[in-house]
Amino acid sequence: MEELVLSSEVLKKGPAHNPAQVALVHDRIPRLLGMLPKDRVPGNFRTTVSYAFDAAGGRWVLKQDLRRDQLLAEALGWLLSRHLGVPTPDAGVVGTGDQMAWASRFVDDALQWSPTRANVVSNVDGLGAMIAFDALIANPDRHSENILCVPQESADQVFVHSIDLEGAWAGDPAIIDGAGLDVPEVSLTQPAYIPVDLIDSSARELAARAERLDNATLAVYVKEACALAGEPDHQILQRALQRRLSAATQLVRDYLKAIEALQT
Amino acid sequence: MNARYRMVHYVPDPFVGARVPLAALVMVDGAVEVVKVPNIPGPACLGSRSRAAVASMILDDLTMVTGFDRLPPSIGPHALLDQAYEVPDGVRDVTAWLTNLLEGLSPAARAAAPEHHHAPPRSSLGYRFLEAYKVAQYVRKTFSPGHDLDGLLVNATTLGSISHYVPGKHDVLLMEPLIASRPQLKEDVRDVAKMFGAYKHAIRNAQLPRAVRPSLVAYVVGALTPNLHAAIDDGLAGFADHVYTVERKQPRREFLERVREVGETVTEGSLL
Repeated sequence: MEELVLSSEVLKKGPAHNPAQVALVHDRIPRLLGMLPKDRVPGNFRTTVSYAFDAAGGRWVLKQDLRRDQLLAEALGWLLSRHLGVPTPDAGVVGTGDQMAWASRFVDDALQWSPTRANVVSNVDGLGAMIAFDALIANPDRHSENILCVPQESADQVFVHSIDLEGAWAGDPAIIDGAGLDVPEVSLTQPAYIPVDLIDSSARELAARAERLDNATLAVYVKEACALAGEPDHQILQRALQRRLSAATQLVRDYLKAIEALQT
Repeated sequence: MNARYRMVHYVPDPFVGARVPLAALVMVDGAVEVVKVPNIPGPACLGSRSRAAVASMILDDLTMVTGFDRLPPSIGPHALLDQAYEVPDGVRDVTAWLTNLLEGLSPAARAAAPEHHHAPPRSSLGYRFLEAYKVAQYVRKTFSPGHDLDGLLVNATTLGSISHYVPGKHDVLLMEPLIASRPQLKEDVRDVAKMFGAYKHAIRNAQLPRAVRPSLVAYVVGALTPNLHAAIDDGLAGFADHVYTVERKQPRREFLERVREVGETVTEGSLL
């Protein structure tokens, strides 16, 4: 398979701590070097998803053929997830321009969500944060396959990670701006069945953290993600997200209500 | 008889690609069943304890199989469904035939295989539920009669301990979890019924301090079929004071509320 390499501009940025990874001076999203795609990940995906090695032997899941809005949603979603405490694997980008791919560090030994896992989640706070964050960036694509569940060695608990934010409305400034304070439909959430009384308090905590996120920090993240994805309308996106984050408690409350209404 | 099967392979490391057969889906005259490997591969075989935990959870999740053509989504990309094969004509017991096929062990290896696998115990899985719902701070592990709570129920010392208890100012919840996904659920119900029955007798005959009210509580974690639900209700009727099926929202709310309600009274004064 073909090796994906970075532009000379990125390569010029100097030595990296990890031979496979170069972090730009002001950027938070790592640029990954020498990624070699391997087999396709089994499943139905909207993009081309493969297992991949980097030059240092690191293992990744690589998403190629992303549209601009998908890349922006992944990048911005990852930055905000990290800031707000949503558990999500390390990530980075590979390549440049239209060929840019999103890489998420492979999570070893991960299963996916099922209702039975609710009783044994070791990081309930992370699970609640994940669902609340979906409301904020308007991610309608949350289901059993993008909640990774890693069994702990005791085999009686799982640690959850959030992946796959490419479908979030936050990837398209016009759409998220037009959505105002709407939350996405929760029909896709229902098969994953997450008891609202399990996550209620941690979801509200995430909302409180989001409301405390200052506009300057948000602007840094929005600009970086937009620059990466080639999205010119960062001001519209900034405005839309500011509005949503400042109303985070309300959005999360509405979203949890909508989920609960579907549960018996 | 028309029978076909598909192997379910666990792929511990998709970057390497090795497969470990864990089960088979078998379709006999249109009905689908799961035949599981008799000896679950352990950490030494799979490479780590967490991989062995994944294998065990995959096997648990296979109880949710609904068809011959796909695995439950919760299993994820670590398990692959192989192509369909015919079961040879003349096989009378398809399950036994597939069990043999899955076992794939020489007689010597079979003799050396462990008889028991170390699945998490019932009490541990129950406690995880209490932790997840943030009431574990009210719950203590292992009630030993005659020893805990200043020797409460000293007349029950021979009955053995109860998994969890919640001490309150007046009430004590003596609690046993039941885990719906455990293959031995029916035996568990029987054991808890026996235990609660004996405790009930001991409580009735004990010299309890005034106003102390122990109650026997079973909580059932995990989804139940209507038949199992009825079997648990019938099995514990007359023995447990309360049975909460916590997979359902309302009973879960009532159970958690009861634990908090009793647990919070401890700060108002000790039980004895």
